Amino acid sequence: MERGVSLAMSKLSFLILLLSLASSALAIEADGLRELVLAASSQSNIPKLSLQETRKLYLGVPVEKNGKTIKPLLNVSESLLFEVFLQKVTFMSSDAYEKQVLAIVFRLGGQRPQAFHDRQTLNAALLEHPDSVTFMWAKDLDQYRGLKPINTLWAGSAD
Amino acid sequence: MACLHGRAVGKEQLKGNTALMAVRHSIRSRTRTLFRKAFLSAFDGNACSRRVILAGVLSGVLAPQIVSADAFPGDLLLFPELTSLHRFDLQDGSSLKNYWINPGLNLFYGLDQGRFRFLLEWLVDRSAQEVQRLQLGWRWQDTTFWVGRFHNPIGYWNIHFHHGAYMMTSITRPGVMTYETSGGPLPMHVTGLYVEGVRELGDSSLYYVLNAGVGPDLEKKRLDAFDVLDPEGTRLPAVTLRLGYQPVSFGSDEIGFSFSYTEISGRQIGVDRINQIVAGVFANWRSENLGFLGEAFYIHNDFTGGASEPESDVLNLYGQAEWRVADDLTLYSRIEGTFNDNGDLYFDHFRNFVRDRYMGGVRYELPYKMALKLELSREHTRDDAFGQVGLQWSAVFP
Repeated sequence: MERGVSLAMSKLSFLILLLSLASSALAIEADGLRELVLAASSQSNIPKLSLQETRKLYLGVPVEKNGKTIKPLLNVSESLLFEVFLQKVTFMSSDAYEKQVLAIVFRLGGQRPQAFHDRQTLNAALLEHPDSVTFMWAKDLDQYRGLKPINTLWAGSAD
Repeated sequence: MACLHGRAVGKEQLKGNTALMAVRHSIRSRTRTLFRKAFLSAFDGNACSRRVILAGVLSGVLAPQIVSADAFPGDLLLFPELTSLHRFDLQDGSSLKNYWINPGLNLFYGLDQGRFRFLLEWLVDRSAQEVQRLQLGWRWQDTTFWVGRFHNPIGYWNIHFHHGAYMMTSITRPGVMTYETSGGPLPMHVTGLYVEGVRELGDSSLYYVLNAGVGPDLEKKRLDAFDVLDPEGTRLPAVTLRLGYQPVSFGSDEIGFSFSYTEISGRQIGVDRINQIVAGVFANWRSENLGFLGEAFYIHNDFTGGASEPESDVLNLYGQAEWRVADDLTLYSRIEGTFNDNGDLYFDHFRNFVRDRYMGGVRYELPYKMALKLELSREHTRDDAFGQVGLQWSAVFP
C-alpha cells in the first residue's frame, strides 16, 4: 500500500516537473526568446568560430580554419533574423554594415559575402560548399537539409 | 535589405540558367577575340592604345560578372561619377579652367582563391586612363604579401578612399592627397612590394603596412607615377611604414602615423635628386551622426646637386567634420592649410596644388547606392586664390 502511494507521489512529482518545464518553454516562446546559430553542411569540418571571428568573416576579411578559407553566406531570407545578426554579431546597423564591408573589400581586396533571399538556394549552396557557413534561428535548423550547428552566436529576446 | 549588395541569388536566377549560358558563351567568344587582338597589338602599340586595349579586354573578361555574380568568382565594383567644377575670381591669365566637367569610371575587381589574392583598380577619366592598383598577393594568417602597383599608404585618406568618389563624403580630396595626374605634390602610387596585416588585441587591433618599391618621376608639371603599361621615366626607391590603431577591429575609427621616404629625380627643378621624407599622423572618429577626420604631414626635402637651399621643411594640415543631419543628408566641412611652402623649390613646381582651402558641402544619398554632392570652397594655389562650386553625382554598382 505504502509502495503504491509512493509510486503515485513519484508520478505526480514527474507530472508537476513536466508541467513546469512546459510552462517555462511557453513563457520563453511568449517572451520571444531565440537562439541565433552559425550553421554549415553536416559534411564540413569547420570548428567553432568565436563571435569576433564570425564578425571578421562577415565584414569581408578572410578567416582560415583547418587549412580552409571559410566562405560566409548571408541569410537575408528573414528581416528580423538579419537585423539581429547585424546588431549582435557585427554591432552595426544595416546601412553601416553595407558601407563598412564595401570599404574593407575596396581597401584590402577579397569579396563581399554573398546574400541569399531564398532558403532552398542557400541550403544548396551550403551543401555544395562544405567550407561555407551561414546563420539562422536554431529552431529553423531542421527545416534545412543536411546542416549542423557550428555554435551559438547569441540567445535572447528578439523583440 | 532586399537589394543588399545586389548579389542575391534566387530561384529566378536558376531558372534563367539556359539563357545565361548562351549569353556567357557569346561573351566568352568575344573575350577570346579581344585577348588575341590585345596580345598581337601590345607589342607594336603606343601607351594610349595599350590602355584602350586593356580597357576592352578587362570589360570583356569582367562583363560576365554583371550577368551573374554567382557563376564567377571574385567581386566586381563599378564606381561611376560625373563631376562639374565652376571656378570664379580666377586671376587674369590663370592656367586653371573656369569650368571643368569630368565624367569618370573606376573599376575594382578583387578575387581570393585560397591564400592567393588578386586586386585590380582601373580608372578612366579626363586626367587619367590607367591601372591604379594591380596587386597579386599571398595571405599568411592575417598578413598579406602583395606585389604590384598600389596606393602609397601615406596617412588615412589615400588608402581608405582610393579612386571611389562614392566612398568619399566630399567631392574634392585634400590638396596634399591630390593624385599625381592632377598635380598633387606627394607620391600617391608606388610599385613594388607591399605587406599589410592586422594584429588583433582583444576587441581592438593594430593595422600595419610596410611597402618598398619605386616611386614617381618628376615631370615638367607634375609627378609621374610608375605606370605598368608605360614604364618610362627615372624610377628611384620609395619606402613607407604605416601603423594604425583601431579601437574596434575592422571598424572605421583609427588613429596612427605613417613615415615615408622617397627619392625623386630632380632635373625638372634644377637639382640631381630630391630625398623626400613625409611623416604624418592621422585620426578618424565616427559616431552614428558625427564624424571627424584629421591629418598632419611634415614634409622634408633634401636637394642634392645644384640647389641654392639644400633642404626645405613644409607642414600641411587638414581637418574634415561631418554631421549626418538625416539618414540621407550629411553636411560636411574641411579646412586645409600649408605652412612654409612659399618660395619652396619643390612645392613651387606644383602650381595647381591647393595649399589652403575652406570648404563646406552637402551630400544627399539617393536610392541604389548613389549620391549627390554640392560643395562650395575658397582655394589658394601658388598663383591663384579663387572660389569654386562643385557638383557631383557618384555611385557604386552592384
